[in-house]
Amino acid sequence: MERVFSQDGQIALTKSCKDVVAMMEQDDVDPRITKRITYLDGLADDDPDEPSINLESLQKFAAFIIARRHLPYPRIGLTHEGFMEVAWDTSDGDMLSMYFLPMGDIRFAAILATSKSTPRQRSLGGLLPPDGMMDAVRPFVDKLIPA
Amino acid sequence: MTGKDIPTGDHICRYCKPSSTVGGKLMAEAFQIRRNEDHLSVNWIEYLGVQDLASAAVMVSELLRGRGYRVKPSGRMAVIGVGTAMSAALDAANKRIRIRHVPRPDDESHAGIFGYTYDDYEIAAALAKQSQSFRTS
Repeated sequence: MERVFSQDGQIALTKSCKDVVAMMEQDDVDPRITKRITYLDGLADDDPDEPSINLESLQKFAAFIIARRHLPYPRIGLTHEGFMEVAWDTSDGDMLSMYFLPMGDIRFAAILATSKSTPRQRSLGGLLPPDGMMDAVRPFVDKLIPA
Repeated sequence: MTGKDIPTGDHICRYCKPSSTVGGKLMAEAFQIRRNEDHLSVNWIEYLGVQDLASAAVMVSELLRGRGYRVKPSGRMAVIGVGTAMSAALDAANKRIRIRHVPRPDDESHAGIFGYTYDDYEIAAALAKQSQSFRTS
């Protein structure tokens, strides 16, 4: 019996960070992203103070990026719990930051830049599934600039 | 909560590991509080008697190395004004954070940012956005 998996299904079958990176490379994801993930994966080997990448978080991040190739190259880091964290600046000076929880939701925060008309820095944030989060931050997405 | 409030015109700094900095820019993780803690550890720059922020970053890096921390050249020292940090938290999440001097036997300049939690990701992001980043050596 032949089994056919969706892309998300294939990602969920990966057993290691290296497997996820290999799948992203096969899918022609921006090589800067896979290079950065490989770098982060290696940090914990050299320094026990650095977190190990949480595999489920990485899988969710990979699925998110593969499905949204129009997004510019982000800054990529790790939370202390090993969750994939990304951030972008916008052309207006705002910042969009988020991290990928293992069960699928994304914790995000958009920090708006101050201006003469808005001297206080405002924010938008929450915890949503990927599509809901992208809807919530739609005004920012069009203004994202590459890292 | 212990210690005296640090003047709003002064500055604090925090070491950020390579995993929480990218090209000299800070990720929100740099200011994310741990789930089981009530403050974020920082150092009070003016307590060290150094006016230049870049020099202070190197001094604090050496101080942390002396305490056994692995402060890497590829990491960064985040620096933010106390008043700037308080305004950022208030604007981002309507929370009043306090930045207090909490000296330790092995670190007289130790301080803490109190008043926000792990769930206040907007505050962590706002603090990272408002911070400057300096080399550790």
